[in-house]
Amino acid sequence: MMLCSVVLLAGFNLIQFSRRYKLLRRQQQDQQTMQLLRETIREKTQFQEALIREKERLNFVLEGTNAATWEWNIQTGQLTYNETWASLIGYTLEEIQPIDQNTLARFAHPDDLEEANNRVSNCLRDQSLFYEATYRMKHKDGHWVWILDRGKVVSATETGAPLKMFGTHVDISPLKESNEELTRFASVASHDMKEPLRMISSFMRLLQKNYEQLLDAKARQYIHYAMDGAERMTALIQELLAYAHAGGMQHNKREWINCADLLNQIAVLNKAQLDDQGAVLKIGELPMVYANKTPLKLLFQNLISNALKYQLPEVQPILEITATEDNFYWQFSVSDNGIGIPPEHREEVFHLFKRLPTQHEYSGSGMGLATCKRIVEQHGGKIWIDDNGSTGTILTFTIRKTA
Amino acid sequence: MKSIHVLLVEDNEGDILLTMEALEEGKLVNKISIARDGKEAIDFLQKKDRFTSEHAPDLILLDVNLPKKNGHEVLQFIKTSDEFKHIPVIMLTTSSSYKDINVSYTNHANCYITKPVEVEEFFKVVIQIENFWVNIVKLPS
Repeated sequence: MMLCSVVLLAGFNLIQFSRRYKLLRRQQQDQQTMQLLRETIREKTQFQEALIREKERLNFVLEGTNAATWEWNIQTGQLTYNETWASLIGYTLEEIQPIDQNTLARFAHPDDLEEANNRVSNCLRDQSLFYEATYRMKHKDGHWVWILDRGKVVSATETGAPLKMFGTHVDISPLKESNEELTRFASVASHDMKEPLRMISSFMRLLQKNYEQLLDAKARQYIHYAMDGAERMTALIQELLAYAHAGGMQHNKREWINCADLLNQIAVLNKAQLDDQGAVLKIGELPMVYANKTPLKLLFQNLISNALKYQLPEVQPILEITATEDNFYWQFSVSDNGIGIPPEHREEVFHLFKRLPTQHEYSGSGMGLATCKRIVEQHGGKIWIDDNGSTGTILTFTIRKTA
Repeated sequence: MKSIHVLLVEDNEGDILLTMEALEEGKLVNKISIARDGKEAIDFLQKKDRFTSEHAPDLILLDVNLPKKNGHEVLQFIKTSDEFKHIPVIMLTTSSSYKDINVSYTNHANCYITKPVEVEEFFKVVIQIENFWVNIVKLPS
């Protein structure tokens, strides 16, 4: 009997124990689940908070830059503008309803719209490209507002078709005006300077031609200096004009350019000088770029003529032009084996009228690289001189892959 | 020997002298009349004021940048006038802007020439103009 109750008790305890153990296990599991749940919720809240913070930050940025935004669902055609978008042209969002694919055309200048549309199409075709266009929009008051429109395709459908495009509008009217003013000023100033200069050189030349027999050596020398000065002045004005036009909008017509063809054209143009110096021009594999043709040609032309000009005597000039690209930029390098530029002067050579003391035995106006810089910046890129260690110069510039 | 009467419309005294010397060097033009602004050019053609005894020129050399009335306005006057539109008008200017070139041809300029900067080149061009319009071309009479 005694034994029986001991066994029973033990059995009971065993059951109790096992139950308690199971309970404990379950509690533990529950706790783990809860923990997991809590962590998930915490992560989710953190994520949401981050998202809110990110959105706030974006709003601050947009507010701070006074940027107007647009959002376009390419597949459905649905367009969304923000309040600032409408306010740039003096309206409220309410007033410009309905907002659809034709809204922009109602306000944009018809002369500018086609170019902008072309650029959008390019971005839809090549989704890695940034969209950038400037055009006029009609303000509620009737005047034109210059808009800088930028954007990018940000998502694609499963089949790879462009789905959504985001972008911003910025009012650049004041910048545009002062820029155009400057270009106009430089252009008028140089045209007006050319006229009197032509008179000086023309009549000096006639004096020399028609009266040479009557003049002594000294008088001929005077004429020579006067004509030499006029010639240098003419060259300066020519370059000043090139500089003024480089950043101007009159050349802002981007197109696809085959850089290899362009470089071949330049090589033909410079054939006499290349042959004269026995120079070797090595052209690597170059890409197609979307850029303004005339300024781009001037850019390469300037860099090549610099490389040929700043050479040591009795050295065969070797020029090499190479290119690479990443997602956002095309990058070009023009390297030579010339006199080189000391590291401490590698920034200032891009300033207007800056000539290095070491260059004074070479003729130049100090505008070539400044013009190059303006052209590169017009293409959203940068230009700099690479550290090459040995002799020569490596000039590198980038062009942003905007459409 | 054939010879013609040229009306030079030019405000810059230096350019007037250069062009006249060049035309004289060509020895084909026997009369050069000068108008120093756009209004004077039109007055000359219409025989107004001091031009009452003038005859219509055979050829007009016309600058673009002129006081009072610019070259484009003078050109438009000539080419819309039944009396004068047969007279060949040669735009001779320092401007090489596409706008000036296109506007000129749209307004029926007979040709457009940008003045070469080099004086020798300028002389060559003027002599070629002279030779072309006097010896090669048949002008209306």
